[in-house]
Amino acid sequence: MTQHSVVGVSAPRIDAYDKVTGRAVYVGDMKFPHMLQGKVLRSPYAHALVKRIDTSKALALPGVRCVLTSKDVPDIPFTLCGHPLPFDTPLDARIFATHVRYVGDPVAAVAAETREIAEKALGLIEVEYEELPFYLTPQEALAEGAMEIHEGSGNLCGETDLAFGDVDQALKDADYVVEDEYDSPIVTHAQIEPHVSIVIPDPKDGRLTVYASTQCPSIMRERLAYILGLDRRKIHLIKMTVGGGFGGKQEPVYEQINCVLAQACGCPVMLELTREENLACTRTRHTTHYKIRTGVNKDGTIVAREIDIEQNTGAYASHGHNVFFNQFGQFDSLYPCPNMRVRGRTVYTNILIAAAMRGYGIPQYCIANESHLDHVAQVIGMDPLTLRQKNLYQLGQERKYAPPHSVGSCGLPQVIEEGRRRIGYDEFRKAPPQDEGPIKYGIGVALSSYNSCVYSHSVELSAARILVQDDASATLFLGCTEIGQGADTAMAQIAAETLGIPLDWVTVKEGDTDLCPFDAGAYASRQTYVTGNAVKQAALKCKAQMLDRAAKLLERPAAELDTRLGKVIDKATGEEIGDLRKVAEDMVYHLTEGNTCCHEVGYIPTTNALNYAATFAIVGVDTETGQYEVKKLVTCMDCGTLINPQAAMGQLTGGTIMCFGFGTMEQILIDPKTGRVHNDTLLDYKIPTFADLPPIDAHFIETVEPSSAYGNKSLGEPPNVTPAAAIHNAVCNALGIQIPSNPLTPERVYLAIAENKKKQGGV
Amino acid sequence: MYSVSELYIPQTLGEALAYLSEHPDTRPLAGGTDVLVQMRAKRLEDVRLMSLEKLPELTGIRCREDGVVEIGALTTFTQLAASETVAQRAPMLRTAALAMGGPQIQNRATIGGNVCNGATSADSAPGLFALDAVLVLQSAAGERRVPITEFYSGPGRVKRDPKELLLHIELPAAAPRHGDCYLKFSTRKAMDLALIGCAAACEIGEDGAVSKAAIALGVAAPTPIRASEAEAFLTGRKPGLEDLEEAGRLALQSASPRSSWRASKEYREQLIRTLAKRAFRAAYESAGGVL
Repeated sequence: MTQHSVVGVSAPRIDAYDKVTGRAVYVGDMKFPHMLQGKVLRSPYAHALVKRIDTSKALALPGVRCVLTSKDVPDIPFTLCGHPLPFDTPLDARIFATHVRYVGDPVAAVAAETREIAEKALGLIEVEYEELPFYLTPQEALAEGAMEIHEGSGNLCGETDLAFGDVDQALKDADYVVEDEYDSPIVTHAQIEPHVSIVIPDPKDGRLTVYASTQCPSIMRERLAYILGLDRRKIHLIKMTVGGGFGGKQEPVYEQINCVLAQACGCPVMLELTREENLACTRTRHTTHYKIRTGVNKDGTIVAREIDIEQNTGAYASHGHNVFFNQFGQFDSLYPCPNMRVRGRTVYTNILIAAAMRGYGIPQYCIANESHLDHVAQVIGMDPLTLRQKNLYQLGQERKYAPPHSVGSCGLPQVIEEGRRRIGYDEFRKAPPQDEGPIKYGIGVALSSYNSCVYSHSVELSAARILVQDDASATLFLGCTEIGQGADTAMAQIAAETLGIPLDWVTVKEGDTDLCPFDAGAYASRQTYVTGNAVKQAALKCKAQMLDRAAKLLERPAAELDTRLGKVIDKATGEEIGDLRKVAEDMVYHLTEGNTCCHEVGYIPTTNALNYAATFAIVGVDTETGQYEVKKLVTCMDCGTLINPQAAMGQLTGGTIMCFGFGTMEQILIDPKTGRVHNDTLLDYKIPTFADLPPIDAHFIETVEPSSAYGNKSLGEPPNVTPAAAIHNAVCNALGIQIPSNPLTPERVYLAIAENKKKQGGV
Repeated sequence: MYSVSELYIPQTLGEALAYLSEHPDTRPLAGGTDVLVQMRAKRLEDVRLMSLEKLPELTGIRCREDGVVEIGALTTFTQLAASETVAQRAPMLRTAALAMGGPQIQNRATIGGNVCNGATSADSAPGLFALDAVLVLQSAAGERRVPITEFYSGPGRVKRDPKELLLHIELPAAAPRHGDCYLKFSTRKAMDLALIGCAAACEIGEDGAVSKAAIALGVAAPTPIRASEAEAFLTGRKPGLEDLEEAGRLALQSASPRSSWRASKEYREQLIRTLAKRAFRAAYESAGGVL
């Protein structure tokens, strides 16, 4: 492996100092002269028609500047999905609803001098609703005679049936057929920074400057212009420091409402959600019902797989059926099988909107499928890890079901072996710990594969512009988005490494659509994989120009020269022979040959690298209360070569914590009588505290991915996939039962134990 | 978001009691960790607040010569957890203090506020119930002493006269061989409310027989309760494992847990059985009892 100077080094994050000292500026910190505060009036009903709205009392309240309803704003149907053009989900949303489809659907908005006045004004808006029957589950929404939530949809937002090979025959021929059902919960991003925006209209031409907390400035600009019926040049999007996205800030969520408020008032408006709104009225992970059948032979060979996926997308499509496609994309990259049938249905209901969330379908698919595999192993009497290893994807194996990407690197066998060793898998299996009173011990494993972008499903363009200054320092202009994951630092490291300058010579400017080139944005774990290539290629062009200049200065052929940490070096010997700052100075200030050095490259990937991970867990379960303790949690991951090992470990640890919450305690609970969210506070929507976390042993196995800038692969989402499934399997292993849903709250575990006891007593 | 009609900050106890007499609609404000939450949720609006921050009579933890421990109403959970006096008399109160909320909330929240808020989930309540703590209240008309077991009247309701302030809480002097234990069961280990809280206190004779048994439960009924059937069963016994199981079952007889979206009745009942058994066992053993 080539020895690098900047890449592969644990440099401090370039945004860390500002964040930990409170200097970083978030949208909610900003103040502008005459800035108003916006508030949204929401439907109290899960499904209803707005028959009449009277805003006159609200408008008469001193301090109120405008009150808007559907009749005041463009009536352009749009999709709440945050993907680049072309639209790939139904255009089923409006700025304000007249047909409200979930508790929280916006029906009006107010801008006022203070938030208190705006809030008071909401209470003065009179709305008459005609209540309609509402449906909270796909089962209810697809029942015969159910009313259509979106006209003409039949309450189906997307449907797919695919089969490969001869599934029926293979199931007939298999030694065993194992079948399971599984339900995953509604969970939400719970970003520490709620959704917030400031919109400033320019009175001379109506151009809107939008300060946003977004993962995708380029997409947000395009989509806001579309929703508002404006030319795109009328939107200037500026992304500020983002306090967490996790997929929830991929698309416009309330920014469009803030735009119409600012347009109507002609002055800056801030619209910031409360914690309660952020939990109950933004975006979630799809709650999904799985039916899985596996045909397996005695020797552990899986001969047929049949998977039925039913996603509840809530009131609007947003990312909708795309989340199914992402799950389907992983079917043959981990456990390929010649005979396979998959059916996916994405269903409209009257709950809050499911959309993109870290892992995009894969965490729920992983926990359903990995718990099913444990059941398969139990039925055929095989060790669960052995069963998996018998059916693993092998490097070089042809992929049939997903878009046929070649796989350039696969550390799957190594992550399994390393995890197995670290947890002491074989020792546990050979001699499981004795019960201690009511405490029983169990071990579990879960594996995953994960894409590094969305190629070839949708547009994947990322661009980078690098301006090398007259002192060889560099300014990076990126559409790539720092949302807390460390993208700015990774891009700066790639630029510094490629240019041959120290990291602190690089400045990153990103997220301003007037200054920065297009980038699809921070989702699909794609930034370092895709934008990293754009940065490297732009840097190579800048470097070539500098070396040309250096060749003239040093009177050596450019081909014999290289750069490292701000010096010109002899390529062959590594000897320092010049100062890159002098080269850059000469490049700019030369009397006749002076020139600037600025290059922009747009990059589209031509394949889709795969991240592989294995998590192992050991738990002790208190069978009298259902409470359990995760004694050991080991994750080993192949995300290619690490750009910044310490930042990478932050991602792996953070994702593990998020997934721990998904597996063990997080769930949005909805009142079946009203459709309202019960738990819209962080007391009752339980994200784990540090006191709850198990000891986490996270470890990387480095491979070299040939299709990326420096051997790297996806890292943003994959850590949020396997931990929940491994813990789930460990608890089930301890108890010798299946639990077909998560989160594994102590109550759920205890009730499963009690039910199992009843069943056994009844036999 | 926080709608306050008036905020009064008395400088002396006399001023405070006079103000309460004049304005019985006043909501005393101690740490604010309940009051502000209720205001944000609009369960309290246009509220008249009286801050207790300047009243030294309500602070401090003292052990009197007669062995009675007085805990000032404004004692924060951080102070409660740090107090050696409390730890010696009733270590379970330290456990309860550290089980409540998180460090920030423990720094603000007070034991008096926790009790007067009237929540059945209050972490301090089961321990104070099990110890037969006495509340000392004062109004302009004079002082009143109420056993905590008679103080709660319903969910979120206590028998504090609107003109009264809780001054301090008295813990009776300890018997020679005593032990206690508080077990909080919640989904999270911090920043959470109890699904069931259970405190047990125990005094034993030299022979190891239980001379006094107390088991108190939070969230097992609309108010904190004592499990008197279980207590009666245990009193006078040298309990064995079977007896503890039976005590757990009997504890359920005093309880009336409900199903809510936070937890089912069936599960809360199992928690009551299990926690009562485990808490009493721990209390008995810490009193020197051997099973």
